[in-house]
Amino acid sequence: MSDLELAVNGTLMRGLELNNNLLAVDATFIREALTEPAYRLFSIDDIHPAMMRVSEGGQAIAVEVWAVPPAGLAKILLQEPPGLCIGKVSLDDGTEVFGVVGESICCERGIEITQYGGWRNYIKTSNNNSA
Amino acid sequence: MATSIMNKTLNLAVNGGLMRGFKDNQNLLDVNATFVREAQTKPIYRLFSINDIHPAMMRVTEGGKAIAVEIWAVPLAGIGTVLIQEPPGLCIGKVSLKDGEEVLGVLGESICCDRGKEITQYGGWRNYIAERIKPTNN
Repeated sequence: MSDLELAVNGTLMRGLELNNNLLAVDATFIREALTEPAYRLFSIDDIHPAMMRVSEGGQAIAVEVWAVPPAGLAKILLQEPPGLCIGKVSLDDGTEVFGVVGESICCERGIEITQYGGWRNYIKTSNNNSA
Repeated sequence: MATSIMNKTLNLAVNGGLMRGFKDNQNLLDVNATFVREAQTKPIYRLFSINDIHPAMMRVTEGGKAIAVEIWAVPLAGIGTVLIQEPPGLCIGKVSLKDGEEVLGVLGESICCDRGKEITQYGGWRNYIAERIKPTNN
């Protein structure tokens, strides 16, 4: 069976805290991408984001698409923070891939950062503000 | 969970069409998943019927109940195969069982649950289906 495409939007991305979870299952980076403008993004205690598909108020969120060996998908999910799931995510080029999404119970306790368009941009901006 | 990984299967809690006797159960059998047991979630989930075709379960802070699930042992590489065949709006996350165990489980995105009809009070999809078809049997 061929690799599965997984869109990640937070600390699984290159250079961030959990990226090694992808590398450890021999996943490989494919490309940067944007979701359809149908998602909201929340910061959970500024430790990780949680992305949620919505019918209103959504934006395009920056993601990285990784090729994950089939047996690696569940291993990655097991190591994700509580409240995160793997579902299907629609990209702005019309393709649908697997992707990390947050349960609403998780998103609801976060602060909304949709307007930053992605976790990487949010982190960069908040670091600049505190400097 | 650690033991399951060494055995190359993971326990997956399913609450709808993947259960024994339902239309998508074959998706589990096709990846050589095996039935482990029936179980109940912690009383912190709501259940919705999506067009009476399948349910969608969601963890909540209020108004939740214990929902009937089936635990299946799924080979690691089968998780993605099962997920890709699931209806739109369903995902796989972690589900807390009544006995305190946490397993992978099928959940619904809120955008999916929001357009469903609440059936939490039935305590599970199988019971909802059974109650729903009763009138036509009488």
